[in-house]
Amino acid sequence: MKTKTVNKLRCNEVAKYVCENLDEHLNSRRCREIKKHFQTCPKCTKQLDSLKKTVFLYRNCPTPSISAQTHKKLMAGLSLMITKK
Amino acid sequence: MEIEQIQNIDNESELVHKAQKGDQRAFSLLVKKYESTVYSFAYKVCRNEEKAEETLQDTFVNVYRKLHQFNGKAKFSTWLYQIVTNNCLMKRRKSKLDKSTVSFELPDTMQEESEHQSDGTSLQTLVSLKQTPQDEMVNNELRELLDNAILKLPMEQRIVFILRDVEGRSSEEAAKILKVSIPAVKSRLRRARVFLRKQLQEYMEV
Repeated sequence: MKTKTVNKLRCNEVAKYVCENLDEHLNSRRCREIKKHFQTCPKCTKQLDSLKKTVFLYRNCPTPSISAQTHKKLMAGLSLMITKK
Repeated sequence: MEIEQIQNIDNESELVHKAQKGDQRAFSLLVKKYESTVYSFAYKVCRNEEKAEETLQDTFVNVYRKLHQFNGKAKFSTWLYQIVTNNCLMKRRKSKLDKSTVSFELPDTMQEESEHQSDGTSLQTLVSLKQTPQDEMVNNELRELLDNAILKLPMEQRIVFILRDVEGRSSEEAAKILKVSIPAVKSRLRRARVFLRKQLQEYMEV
């Protein structure tokens, strides 16, 4: 019972740490401990995977390029503003 | 030619300095250099092309008006991100009033002409021409899911998530852009990541 509580707390701690520091390339003692934790905790490993996938999806979601029309509109508007000044 | 001109000016601070002194050509080159960055960031925050365009316009109007305040202590791009994030936050606050936007209208002839690239091809949109209808449907569904999830995030968390995880900016730079502490950036990022992961959980388990 006691072990389960300790494990649960540990997992929460790991989740908080990972969610704050994912992609930070840290190599602290705490970081190494957490890496060890992943080797023995499938639940945390699954959460880490889904976190990485979430970031991957947003990072690779296509973004429209600025259109020629938008560019012209911007430059024409700025030019007008500068001239008026 | 203009791209070459931009590339030839290695020293960005020189370009900024010239623009600050009233050199309109230098200012135009700065706009051309950064317009895609600003538009892309605004789109990622607003998930809407029209709003991204409005934010782009507002941002460069503000850049022009405040350029004399830039002191060169931070990178120009950091200063620019400060302006665009402020515009995104303001747009969110004033979205119902819709009076904060400086609208630049083009003559009809210019709009028609702009629908095609200089090489005659149509402008590339989000969907690749090589996609099958099925791919397109899945992509559209996924994009809708991603858009809906991120739009539910409070703007402060959304901006941190985009700066850090999508744009790849460091926590230090995100803190400078938002004028908050690094722990505040990390806290917002953690909440954003947890929220988005939960929102997409069903999709990822399929």
